[in-house]
Amino acid sequence: MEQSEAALLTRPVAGLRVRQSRLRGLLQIGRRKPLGTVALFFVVVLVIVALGAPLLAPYDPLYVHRMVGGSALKGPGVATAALPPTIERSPIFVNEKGQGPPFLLGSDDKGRDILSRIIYGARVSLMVAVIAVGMGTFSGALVGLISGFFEGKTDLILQRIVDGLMAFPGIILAMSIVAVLGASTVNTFLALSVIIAPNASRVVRGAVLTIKQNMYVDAARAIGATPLRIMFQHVLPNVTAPIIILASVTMGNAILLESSLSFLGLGTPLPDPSWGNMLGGVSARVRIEDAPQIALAPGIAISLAVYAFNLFGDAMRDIWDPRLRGR
Amino acid sequence: MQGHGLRGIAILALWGLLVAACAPAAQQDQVQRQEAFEKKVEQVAGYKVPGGIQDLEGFPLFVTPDEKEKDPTKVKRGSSHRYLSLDPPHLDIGITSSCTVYNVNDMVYSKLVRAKVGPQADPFRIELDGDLAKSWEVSSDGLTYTFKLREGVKWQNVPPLNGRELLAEDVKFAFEDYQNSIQRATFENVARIEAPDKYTVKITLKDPNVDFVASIAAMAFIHPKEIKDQDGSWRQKAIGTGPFILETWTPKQGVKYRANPDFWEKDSAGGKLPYLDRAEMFVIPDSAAAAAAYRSGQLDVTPGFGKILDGQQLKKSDPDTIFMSNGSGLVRGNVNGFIMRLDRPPFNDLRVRKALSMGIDRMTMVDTLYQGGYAMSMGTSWIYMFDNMPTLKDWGPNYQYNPTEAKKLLAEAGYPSGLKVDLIDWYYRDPAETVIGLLKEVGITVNRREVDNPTQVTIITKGEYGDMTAVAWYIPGYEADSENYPFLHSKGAKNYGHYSNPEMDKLLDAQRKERDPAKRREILRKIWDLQLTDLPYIWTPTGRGINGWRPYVKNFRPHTYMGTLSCYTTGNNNRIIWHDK
Repeated sequence: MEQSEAALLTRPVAGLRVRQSRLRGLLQIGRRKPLGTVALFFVVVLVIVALGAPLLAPYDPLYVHRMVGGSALKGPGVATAALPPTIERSPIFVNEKGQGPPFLLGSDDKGRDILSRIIYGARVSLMVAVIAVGMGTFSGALVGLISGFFEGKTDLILQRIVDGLMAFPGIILAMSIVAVLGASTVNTFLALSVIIAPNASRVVRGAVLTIKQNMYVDAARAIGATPLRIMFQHVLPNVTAPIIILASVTMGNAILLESSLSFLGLGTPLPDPSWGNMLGGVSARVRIEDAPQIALAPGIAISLAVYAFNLFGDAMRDIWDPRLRGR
Repeated sequence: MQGHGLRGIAILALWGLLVAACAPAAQQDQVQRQEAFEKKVEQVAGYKVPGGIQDLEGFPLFVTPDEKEKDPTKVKRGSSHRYLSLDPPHLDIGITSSCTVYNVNDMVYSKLVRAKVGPQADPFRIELDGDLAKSWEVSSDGLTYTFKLREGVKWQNVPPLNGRELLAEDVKFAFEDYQNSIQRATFENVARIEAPDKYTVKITLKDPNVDFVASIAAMAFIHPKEIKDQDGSWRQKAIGTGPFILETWTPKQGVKYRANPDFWEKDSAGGKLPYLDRAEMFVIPDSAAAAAAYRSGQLDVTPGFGKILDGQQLKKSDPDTIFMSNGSGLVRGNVNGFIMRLDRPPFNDLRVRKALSMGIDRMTMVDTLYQGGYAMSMGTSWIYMFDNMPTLKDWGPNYQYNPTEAKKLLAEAGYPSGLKVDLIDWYYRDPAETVIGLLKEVGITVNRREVDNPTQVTIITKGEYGDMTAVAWYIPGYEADSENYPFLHSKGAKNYGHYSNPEMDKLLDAQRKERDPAKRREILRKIWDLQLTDLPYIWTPTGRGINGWRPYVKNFRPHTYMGTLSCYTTGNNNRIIWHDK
């Protein structure tokens, strides 16, 4: 009993926490969520790589390096009983100065530097994570907010539309949207946001329904606040936490979906690099045992990014969710 | 130290001498090998390999008929043949010459005259053979053609035709319809089509066209009046007099056929054709999936390969496959390149076209895309004007890689800081990746948008492709006129780039009328040269087409005029194919 009283005395009171330095707070989170911290590190690396692509990439991602020993092949018009490269004899590519293979991750079958393409491909993945998830979550949250706040017929109609969208498997819905709009990076973002939105709307609607019961909402209504004001001033700030958690959890999934679409030739059109189309293009052209680097590099990049965003999202949820806080 | 230097120089000198001595010897060896090869082909196969075409190690240029193929009494009937093609947007050859539509037509319909195919035919040249016409003659002025039709040929026993007899009036109707179609290049020169009796068709031309019979042998399927009366076009239905009856056509999946029991033709032993009971065409746009389908036994013939590497891989996984490497571009046919809108900026400026062409390092494309085995083709067969296949060097300065000049020309044309163009394509996606990378180096940024095959066919036909589109296709046709006139004449039905050059028009009209082969050769050469300087289209190398098939597939042979997938001879070849199992 004495001990527990002592513990009680030494326990920091609520006010003290505010005085803790930010760095210490972050370190504490880092200690509590080591996986999340590593994930955050990867996410930050991804952001830096994507933003600094032109500075970091050793080559232009589209630059076609020339092949060494080409002269043997450049014989008479129609060749050649000479020496075309075979499966056993992989070609070697050089840059315009004739320098040997400086590629860290090797080159693809067209003589392009894989590392440069991975670095530029990070831009597409990051844009998906930010733009598609942002658009999807924002529009879904808006629908959820309106739906939950007004209830009644508005809720009924909006949620049946959401039901309709949720009835389709995500990738199938995205594929059909892209098939109608045409394959491009922008259309991929649109398709992904359509998939993301229904889920966001459900989560936000649920939160709004709970928050609406609070006294302060009744109070606001009593003093004559307009529904719009109550919605955006009193309800929305209280549902931001689930929105942010949802967005961070969805990002990994969105990157995976974009890669799948690009893999199928429905995302970023070649030759612009995205991790998915790097993976998809190669499967059509080269067998993995002949040149494993072409498939492995984008494959590992996708896995790392998806893991990083998922773990980061989980950590965010744990930290922000009051029910899970401290566990 | 000095001694080391001297020794070094001596070694270098010796090395130099050795290289100098070996190079001509190697060249001579190459020449001798080639000569021996050509001689062997002539002896064994009975035809001449056109000049300059070399054998491809591991992938022979020809496969002679085996004992079973030579003897029609050994035929086994009743198999189902499964092969690959591309997704047809519709079934009307009057709207497009696309091989996707052609290969369905070739199964179902007949023509008056056709090309010989199969193991006994010369795979490098077109030999004409009567199809619905048993004979034909030309008047001395070269204006009137009289075709005698086979008697008793019946339309397939499918409503609304129900097996009625094919008559001269049917041919007249079909040909008159072609006069307003995309095949009009051949038919707009026709003054009159008459049917003096049930089995005679008389065609009178306005001007002589030395290639007339060959041109109708390539494209002019005889379509029935009944379908047009019922549906307004032949887009959705196909009922003909050909070897196979179309059972089902499912877009994006394929077409299923069954043998036409009333087909008129018999083999040399009197046996009925076709030998197959069924045939199935699959649409598998993804080349890896297509190769997997062959490997797993779902296809009897391989997808066509442009890359030696693909062939090598298949050889490794399926060593029993029989290969033949005459598939494309060697004599004519397969072209890879760009169609540009020449009637508006930026490509109405020759300097921009030159810059685009000079910015493409074609030998790098050959190395990376085709592993050295390639052909340069502009659709026009070189065989009509050269003894030996022209090499890239013979294509003149506009086709040599020259990035400095390309940048200079771009600046002169008003694009000193670079040019941005839109490209819509589907066929060309693999080479497009390399070309776009190469063009970026000279300041041309290509914004590529990918569409599917039916969309690309429609876009090209209607000319709705913005700045440019890219193609990797076969120029349909069996003779020089069909390869040139429709694509290059300002009034040509397939002038997809809206090209207009009075000098070209004059040459095209002249070659059509010229009956002296030597003089015609000269005119065709001028057309070739003008294409190299004026760049109405810009061509890039193509892979050397390799086809393969299972050893039990008999009588299948790719023909260099018909496309890597044998797309332009599907029905014609399938009517004699059988499976030895």
